[in-house]
Amino acid sequence: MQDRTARVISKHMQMLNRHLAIERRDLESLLREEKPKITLRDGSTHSFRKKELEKIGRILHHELHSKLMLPIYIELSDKYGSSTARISGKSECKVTAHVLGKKMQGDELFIYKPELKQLRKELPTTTQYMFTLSLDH
Amino acid sequence: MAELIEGVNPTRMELLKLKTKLTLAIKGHRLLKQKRDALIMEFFNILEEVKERRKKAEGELAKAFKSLILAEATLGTIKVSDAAMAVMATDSLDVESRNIMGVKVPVLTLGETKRSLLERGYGIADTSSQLDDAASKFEEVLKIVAQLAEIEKSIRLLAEEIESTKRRVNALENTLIPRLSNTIRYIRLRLDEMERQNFFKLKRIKAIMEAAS
Repeated sequence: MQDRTARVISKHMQMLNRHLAIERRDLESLLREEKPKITLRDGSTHSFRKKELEKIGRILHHELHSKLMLPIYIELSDKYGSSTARISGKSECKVTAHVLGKKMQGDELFIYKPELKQLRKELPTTTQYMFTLSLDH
Repeated sequence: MAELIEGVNPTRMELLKLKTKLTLAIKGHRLLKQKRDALIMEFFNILEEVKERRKKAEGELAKAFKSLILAEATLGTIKVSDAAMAVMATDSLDVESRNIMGVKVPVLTLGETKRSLLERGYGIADTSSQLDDAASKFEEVLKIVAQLAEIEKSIRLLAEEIESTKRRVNALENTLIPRLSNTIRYIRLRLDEMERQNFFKLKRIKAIMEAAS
């Protein structure tokens, strides 16, 4: 019974992040492709909209295209609370800040529920949710 | 009141293990709740679009069917269906998928649907301008219908995922977490009881030994 409890919990946790990419890809290579897509951990594929990629391409300077890894991960964690999400990475933050009209704050950016809604509306295929569990008790 | 976990030995080791599990379950529950909230947000984001697009599709389809009726009135039903049989297929619909938190929603991409008179494939000599007008309107509406199909399917899939995530949240909230908490409480009570028993035992032994000496 006890093992079953542990199994149930770990299954829930594993299921949460099965939609993440096996390997993220940079904007530069994705822009070159006719049908840009990535393979996910659950074996399925995730397609990016070409228009969205081009939009991001216009936001970022050409030199940064190879540095931006897609999809941009929106990190939801129990330690940030229910209404906060985190974006990490310089180029990723730059794109997010531009879309939301926010100021750049460095390598990480915290966004809140209404901004999250706006971001997902603007970039539905190039952003992806990621769930993390804090290790501290 | 929720039950206890069966087959648990009331030991300190077990208590520590259960405490770790409870912390994990609480954190997992919080994360699942966040997932559920995010899914609901996605659902409503798409729902807003559905209303707009459905209205647009219905309006455009009404216009297209009106033109078709006009064409049938001038040419006759048989000639219109003959022309329809001669029409060549448009660019194929490209069906791909994207993933929203584990929900595979379709991404439908339709190539250029607008065609010139000659590209359509039916004869120009024995048809009328009403038919051309109807064909043109149906070509326009095709893209809107594809977009609507994509969104409506996404909505259905998201609703199913929200339902299953809700069930998981409820299972943790109403069964697993209370069971773990109750078992922890039970082990604590048993350990306290055992401690009191031992204390009393020692006191009794001491009393007996003192009495004997």
